[in-house]
Amino acid sequence: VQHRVSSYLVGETDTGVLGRAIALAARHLTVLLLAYGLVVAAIGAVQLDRTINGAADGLNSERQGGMFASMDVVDAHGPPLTGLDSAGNSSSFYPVALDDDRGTFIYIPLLAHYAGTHDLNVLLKWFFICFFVPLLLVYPLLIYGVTDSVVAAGAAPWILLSNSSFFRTSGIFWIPAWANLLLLPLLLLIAKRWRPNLLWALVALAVLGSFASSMRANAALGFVGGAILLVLLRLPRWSLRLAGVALIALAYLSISSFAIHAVQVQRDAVVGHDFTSPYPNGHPFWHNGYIGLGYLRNPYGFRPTDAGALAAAHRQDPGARFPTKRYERALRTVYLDTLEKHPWFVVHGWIVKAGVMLGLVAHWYPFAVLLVPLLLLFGAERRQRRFQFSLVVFAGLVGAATGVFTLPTEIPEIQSGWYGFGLFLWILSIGWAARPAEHWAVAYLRRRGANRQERLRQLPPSWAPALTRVWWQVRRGVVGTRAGLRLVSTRAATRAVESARGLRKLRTLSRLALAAAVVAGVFLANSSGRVTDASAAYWANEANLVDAASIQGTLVSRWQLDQGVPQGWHEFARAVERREGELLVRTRPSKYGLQLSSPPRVLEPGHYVVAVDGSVGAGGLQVAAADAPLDATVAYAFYSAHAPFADSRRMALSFDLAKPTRVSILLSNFSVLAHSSTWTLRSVVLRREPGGCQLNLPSAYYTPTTAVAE
Amino acid sequence: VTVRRRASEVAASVAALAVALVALLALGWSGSPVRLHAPGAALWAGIAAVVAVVELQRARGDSGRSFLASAALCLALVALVEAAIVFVSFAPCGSTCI
Repeated sequence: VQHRVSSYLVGETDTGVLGRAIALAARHLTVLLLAYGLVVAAIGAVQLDRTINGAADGLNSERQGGMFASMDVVDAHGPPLTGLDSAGNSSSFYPVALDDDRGTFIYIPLLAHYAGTHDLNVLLKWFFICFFVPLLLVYPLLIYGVTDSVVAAGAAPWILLSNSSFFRTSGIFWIPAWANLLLLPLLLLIAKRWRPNLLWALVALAVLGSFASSMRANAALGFVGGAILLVLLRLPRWSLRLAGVALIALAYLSISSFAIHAVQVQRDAVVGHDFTSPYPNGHPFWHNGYIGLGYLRNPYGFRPTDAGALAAAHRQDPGARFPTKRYERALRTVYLDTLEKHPWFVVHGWIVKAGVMLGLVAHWYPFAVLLVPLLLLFGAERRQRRFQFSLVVFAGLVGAATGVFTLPTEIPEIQSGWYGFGLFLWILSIGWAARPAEHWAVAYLRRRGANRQERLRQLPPSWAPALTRVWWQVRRGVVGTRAGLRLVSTRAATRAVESARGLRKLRTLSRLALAAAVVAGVFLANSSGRVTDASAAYWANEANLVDAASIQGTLVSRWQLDQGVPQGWHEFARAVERREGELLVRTRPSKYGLQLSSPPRVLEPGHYVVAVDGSVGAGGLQVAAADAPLDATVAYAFYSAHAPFADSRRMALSFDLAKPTRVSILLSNFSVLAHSSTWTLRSVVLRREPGGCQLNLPSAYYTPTTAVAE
Repeated sequence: VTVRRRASEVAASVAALAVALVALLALGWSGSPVRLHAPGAALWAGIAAVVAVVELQRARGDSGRSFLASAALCLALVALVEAAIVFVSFAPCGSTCI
């Protein structure tokens, strides 16, 4: 309000064009911001329509299949959340989205029914645009309402639009980001203009959050945490506070839990089968937690794969079927047992993953990481900023907890909520930083015409004087600390410590140190997190070494590499060197770049094994068999420097061919961070196993689409 | 209770709150001892909403009774939204599914 009143006064004191324009803009700011939002929303809608291609790419084939099945049933006037299995003359209903959040599997088939299309890319694109464009429309107004900054209000929708590329083609995984971006500024606006009646607005927003959470679990849980904190702080009596908390909690459960459960029970009544009670109401929790246990290389056999979780549940309870409640109970037992037996392993995993999550914020929003700690620790309005931060931080905790509990992989499926929180914090910090500068600029314009000394004397606090004050405080702190140390050495130590001024200076210094430590910590987490994530990617993808004696079958080809690159092979590596009966290869740094390839050879249908004798010194190696004419991969396996290499073990790859195929063996770099790898190679052997796969190796089955000409 | 409200100043608001809560929980809470279908839940939520609106008209603005009536209206509307989600989900299926 003060900002706007100051702006009106500019027009009164400065009757020039600029002064009158500022006063006019201030008088009609709400309309102007809304009109501005409308323009940005229109541009955003056109841009999103043009740039979103393959909106369904973020959904795996299982999710897409569930949606298509449900669309067919809904179009045939059947119940929601159901597919129809037709075999011969009989047909039976089966449930869809048993291991997922049910909301989208209700809403998207409905949308498809009324829109008259089953094109999932089109449906998901417009589903996203319909939710996201209104955000662009209201954001200037919302951000101005929260921060009183015209700069932040103007920049906010463009920042939203440009940063939405992370999640715009993620299918439905943008929901948590959207919920944070919409609900958090509304929460701050309510907090800023608090009256007890606004409790009902919080309840209404909790219902909206519940709608978001019905599509993606806990999408608006962070908002609910902030809303509950606000109610506890602002309502006057405990009876009212508890009633307010209960109302918000019930509203948050209304759609995501109650309505979705009611739809499932009703569906069961229509199809005449209980598809609800054996399964959890959302996607499996402990299944994802178990996968998260395998993030770091470990001696306990945890791997970050669905197959690992399924096997663990089967070992715990052979009758437990994915994704039933019984399955979840089995994995919960496994998880809690692990926590009890190896607490440091589990806690260490959480800490490492939290570091990776923190580092991602520095990767996405480096300026926010620099600004936010400083703005929270310094400035006349720091307490107000801290209050705002305390209301929104729950959203960050919920977003981060998702990656800490499961995997901190940088994909919207996991990071959406965390990304949305970081994006909102970035916009908010711009508003926090810009507001004093705008205030100062408006007051400066008010004083135009007065002499310079007069202007400077009457200027309100701003960033420039504030920074000068900080500098003088730091300087006084340094001088004071020196003097204090001298005092300690010359007089009694207690007198120096008891000096209130000294303490104040120390406080300034400690604040600066704290801000520097937070910023440095987050940026360090970013660099170390990338290495950790790369190591985890090796662990997640690498195959097991195979005992050389167990590889049997007819010899098809043998290439000795100890004398150099064999004739007919192509070499693309950075350096190849013969050394003591081995071939030392230093690869080019590209992520999956081809380094060595064998001459193609026509193989008859059958089962084949490739065995590579050698080791990886640094980085990783991908051994692959490729259909040479089509340049298509038949099969591949990854090995990293962490594997327990020995003379008796081989890097192996197995595959089946359905038709005669011209095959090349390829050795490629496997470097998550696109660094150079180092290999030591002795030989590559290709064998045909007449009796099918004898090894404990996953075998790819390949059918070429074209016939081979000899 | 609304008609004979002299018996207790807040009784009608409390009753509306209770009915709205039942309408909300009986439709979708898996552990609810009472079960309602969507039409029943919508009906009871509507009744609770009407009683709450009447109470809001009668109560003083800043009284406890007014707060209870507002809470009842709020819960009734939430229950109506919940029932609406069920209705809309089964809309293509037709009235036989509901």
